[in-house]
Amino acid sequence: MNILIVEDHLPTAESLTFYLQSKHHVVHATSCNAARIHLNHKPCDLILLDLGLPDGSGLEFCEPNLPDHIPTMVISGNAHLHTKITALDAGADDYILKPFSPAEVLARINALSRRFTPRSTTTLLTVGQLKLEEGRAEYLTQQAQLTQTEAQVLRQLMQTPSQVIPKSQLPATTSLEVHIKNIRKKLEVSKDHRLIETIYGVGYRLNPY
Amino acid sequence: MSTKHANLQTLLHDLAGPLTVLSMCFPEVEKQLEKGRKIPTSPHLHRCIQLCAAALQETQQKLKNLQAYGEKLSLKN
Repeated sequence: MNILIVEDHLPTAESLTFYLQSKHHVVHATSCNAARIHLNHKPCDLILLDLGLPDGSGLEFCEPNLPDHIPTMVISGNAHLHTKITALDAGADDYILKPFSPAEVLARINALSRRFTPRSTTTLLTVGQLKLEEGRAEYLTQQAQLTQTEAQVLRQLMQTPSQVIPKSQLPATTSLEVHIKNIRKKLEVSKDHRLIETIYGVGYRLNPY
Repeated sequence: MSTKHANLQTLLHDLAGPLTVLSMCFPEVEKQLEKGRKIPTSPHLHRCIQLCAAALQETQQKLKNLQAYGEKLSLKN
């Protein structure tokens, strides 16, 4: 998961980074403006947000009604009930009071990530005889566990079956051929009928029974 | 909120930063030592201890500020 820490107390940001970087990709911003630049450059999956920043309160990042709302956990030394309520009402998803234990931060991050997992990645997709659910795929007599990237590639092909999808629109463009080869190996029952057809110079097409 | 309360709140709020660093880094130092890591060979452990030392110093300074403010208030009364 990509985590953005917005915190102006540098040692706090560094110690949080130390703790989280073994499990997540962590970037750090010291002000609202720097955070905005980070978010424009690369979207993140979660924001850890201090409220008392040099150029604002940071609550602008909590906006709950935007379609691309990023789960936000406020990390603050302010224990006032009014501040907590204001932050949560502004759209923060969680509020943790400093000083906190590293284990609690991690547990809350995990809870938030479970709550915000897109439903589309956990629902069952079916096209003809092909079924895909959370990386588990079934096709005719074959059953296989796909890697995360293989599942992403197959899911995207299943969104528009029988249509050619250009390589550039599929995930893992550079290693795409390897992933396609692996999916075929795991799911195809016969080489006479290609589940995933290569359209040379263009892309791939899903043709399930 | 009175100015006295606001000042006290700011001073207490300032303590939260270094105390967070101590809360984060001490368990990490403990974990690294349990794993048998040694300061000369582990830059991670070395940095954690540096952060703890700096946070301890910052906490001491901020407590002194709080103490001084408390004394100032009691002199006024």
